[in-house]
Parts: sequence; C-alpha cells; structure tokens
Amino acid sequence: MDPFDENHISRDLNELILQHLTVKEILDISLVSKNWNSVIGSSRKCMKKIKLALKFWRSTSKNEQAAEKIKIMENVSRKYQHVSVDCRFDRSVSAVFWKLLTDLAPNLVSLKVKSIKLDNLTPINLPKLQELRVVYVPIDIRNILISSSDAFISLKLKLVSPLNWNKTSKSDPESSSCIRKCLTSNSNLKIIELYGAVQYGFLFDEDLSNDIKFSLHTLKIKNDMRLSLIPEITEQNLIKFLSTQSSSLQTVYIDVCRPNVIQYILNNMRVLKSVQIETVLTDYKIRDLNLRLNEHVIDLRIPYVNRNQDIREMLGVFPNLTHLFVAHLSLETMEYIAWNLQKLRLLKYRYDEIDCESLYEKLKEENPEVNQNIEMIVDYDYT
Amino acid sequence: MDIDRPSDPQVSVVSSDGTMFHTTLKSILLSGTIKDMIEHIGEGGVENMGAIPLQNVDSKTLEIVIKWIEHHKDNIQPTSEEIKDKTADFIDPWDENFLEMDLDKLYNLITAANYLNIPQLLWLSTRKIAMLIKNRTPQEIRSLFNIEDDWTPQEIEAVQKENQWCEEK
Repeated sequence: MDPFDENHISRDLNELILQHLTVKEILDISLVSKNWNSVIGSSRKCMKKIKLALKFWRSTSKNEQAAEKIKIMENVSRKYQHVSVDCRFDRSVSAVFWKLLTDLAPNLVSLKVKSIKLDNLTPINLPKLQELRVVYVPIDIRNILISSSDAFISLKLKLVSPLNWNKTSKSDPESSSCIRKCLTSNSNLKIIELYGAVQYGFLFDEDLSNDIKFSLHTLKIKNDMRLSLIPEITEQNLIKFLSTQSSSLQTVYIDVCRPNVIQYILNNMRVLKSVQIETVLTDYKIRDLNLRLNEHVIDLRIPYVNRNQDIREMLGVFPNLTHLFVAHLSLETMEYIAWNLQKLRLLKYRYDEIDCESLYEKLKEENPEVNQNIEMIVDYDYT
Repeated sequence: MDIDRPSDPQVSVVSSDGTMFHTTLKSILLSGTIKDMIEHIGEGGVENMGAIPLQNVDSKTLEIVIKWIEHHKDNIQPTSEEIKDKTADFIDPWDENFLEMDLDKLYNLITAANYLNIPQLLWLSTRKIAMLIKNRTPQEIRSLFNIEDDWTPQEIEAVQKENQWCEEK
C-alpha cells in the first residue's frame, strides 16, 4: 500500500508526511519510484528547503564538466524554487540553463547565476523571485534583469566582465540604464549589493533620487576603482540617492569614495546600525569630517583608517558600539576602548605587532570600571 | 459554553456506514470540524441535537478516532498553527502504542483526522508514516509498501546525479 497513491491518501496530505523528513531523507526517498519523485518535486514545502546548485570541481576537465552540467539540466525532474548555476562562460551550457530557467520561472524564489554567456537571451518573467544574484556576466545583461514584481526584495550584482572589463574604460551605458530601470521599477527592494567598477560609477551618472520608490535596509557598494576615476558628479548623485534612504538604511558598506560621502552617511542616516568603510583615509584627518555624536551605530568597521589618533577621534562619536573592526591598534587606543566603549563585545583588528591583549588583561584586573567583556580577534587574512 | 449544563454531556456520532457511537462533548470538541458545527448550533443546542452524521468516516476508523479523542480529552491541544512549526518532540508512549496498526487503518485514520480537523492526531499519524520511511533504503521502502520499481537504470542514474547537486537551502 503506497502512502503516496491517491487512492490511499489524498494528494494534499502528502506534504504532511514529508514535513517530518530532512532534506537528505527526502532526496533519498525520491529514488523509490517515479511517483515518489514527482510527489516530492511538486511539493512546494519540500522545494522550499532544497536548492539546485550546479557547480563543478576543479579537477575535472572543462569539457567533461560542461557535458555533465548539460545532462543534469536537461533532466531536472523537480520544480525547484532555489537555483544557483555557474555556466562557466560556455554557450551551450548557458543555452540549456536558459531553457531550464524558463521551465522553473513560475516557482522560482531565489536565483544565482554566474558566468552566463548567451548572445540573445529571451526575457523571462519571474513573478515570485525574491532574490537575484548575478556574478561575472558579460556586459549584455539586459534580459537577466527582471521586470518589476512585488516579491522582489534583494538584488546583488557582481558584474565585472572579464571579457570586456578594463579599469580605465567607460562602461556600457546600456547596461547601466538597464540596471537603473530595474531599480526604478521595483518598489519593494530591501537589499542592494553592487560589486564591480562597471556599473557603480555609471549607475549614478544620473540622478536617480526622484524615480525611486523603495526603502532599503541594506546597501553595499564596492567599485574597486581609483578615486580619481570616479567623477564628483557621480558621488553627488550617490548622496542624493542616499538622502531618499535616510530613514530606512540600517547597513551600509561602501569602499572608495570621497570623505564628504562618508560624512553624509555617518551624519544623516538616521537608523544606521552597521557601517563598513573601505576608503583609505590617509590624506584626510577624521577631525575634518566633522562627525556628529551618533548613538545608533553599534557596528563600525574601518579597516583602512591607519592613524590611531584618527581611530580614537572617530570612536569618540560612537559611544554605543558593540562591534568594532580596525586596522592597527595602539596601546593608547586599546586603553581608550577599554575605558570608553562600555558596550563593546567584539574587537577585531588586522595587525597584532603591538601586544594589546596583555594590556587589556592588565587593565581589566586593575580596574573594575573598564569594560570586562571584550573579545579580541586578529584577522590576518583581511584584504 | 453554558455553565448550567452538566460538565461533560453525552454526544452521539454516526459513521458513514450507519453505526452510532456515543462519546462526550469534551472529547468530540477535539475535532475542529465538529466544534464548528456545535458552535453553529448555538447555546443550549447540544442537549437537543441528535446524533452527528459523519459521512466521510467509516465505523472502523471512527472507533479508532474516538479511542484517541477520549484518551486526550483533558489534554491541551496544540493549534494547527503551532503544529506547523513543530519539530521532533516528545511522543507520548500511549500514542506510539496506539499508532501500531495496519497500513490501511493508518491511512484511513490520516484521512479522518484531516476531515475532522484534529491537528495533533494528524501530526502523529503522518509522522508515523515518515518514521516507517526513515532509515530505509529505497528497495526496503518498496517492499514495505509493495511499490513497483518503475525506473529504468538510465532514469535512476539521472535522478541520482541531480540529487548530488541538491543542497539544503
């Protein structure tokens, strides 16, 4: 008596049996019969837990990998809601993937696509998509970016094209305008992450602030460009964009930018909790930033502020930090932190040529008033 | 509920094949479906209402259901919302023992628990099937439930390959 036979237990109760099993168990029993596999494949709850992630080991040769990948994508038997595929810039893999995507489109909730290469991508409508991550895609991304949908909340783009990218070149204006269109037509976006020079510099070529309807809680921008390559007008537009997000943004990550951008973020983002600034601040003194007292930021990461005098001046503005990440840590700074940042729990730093840990232990022992609860971690690998 | 009423009045239910069963109001209220019916009748209706017909439950299954609800009539029942998030949990040995039954009875019980809307019984009985499936190879499962292996070797290889690329979300 087959429990997944409709004559015994009705279809709508199958999910209730499957809910008691783990992903591994569900995958194992999909081999019992075609019926069992199709019951699992059409169970929304099961497919919510399982992700199809086609990536390949380095040891096998490229052609073998491509052939295997194509074979699997052609035979996919379930209605996955979560898909992640690396197409390795192979045209035939990309074509088969695009066909698979067309089949899965109505159910798809999250999609990560890496290294796709197709000359003519037919647009696909993804009505339930919440999260899109696009990594290493040649400039023509127009048709990957979806039209607007209420479900869409997270956009992560890493669009450095290894084929066309050149640090000094201007990017493809059509791609930028395509991303701009995606931003202005989706009103429920909460998370935006933009990595790579190509689009950041040019995304803010234009002032977007009047056309945006969403309220982000997370914004991460990493452009890897030299500051001299970023026109000032771009940063002015970025600030205008930030001004539309000042009452919702909680997490901001920004790399190379001029000090006025940093100053704007720290002084004007009213609910900001966590901020990471990757700008190398050597020619500017933090004092010149003119920062106001900030009691809402609890997580500050400044791995490229090198002068300890600057670090201390900056910390004076953030009395409520629980997490802090800095580059060098001098004895003076350690002492300042122990006495003044009473809520700090985690202190990460990049270089440990000075023994701050012993100093902290000594301070703790001698002075019950210093913060007794700081965990110290050295992050040697940070780049 | 009306305070003047005897604390747990008798209620009768009739199975699809015409057998009448007597139980108590407290027990039968574990069924969300019957609870809704009784609330619909309103105040004072319980004493005067006749036997409740249950056209989707046969007498063999109804007997099993009544045994379960009578045993649990004084226990606080989780709502269907709470059941949704429920994971591995302590199982009452009485329930474990109760669920030792033939597959056809178990399947009918699942269908009845769903129709009568008894979330805890539905959770327990579907879990029972999952426990039968757990830790068994596909071949063992096929023989347990008498299922025909309808894969060709190529097809099963394709599904195995696909499974290799599946991960937990």
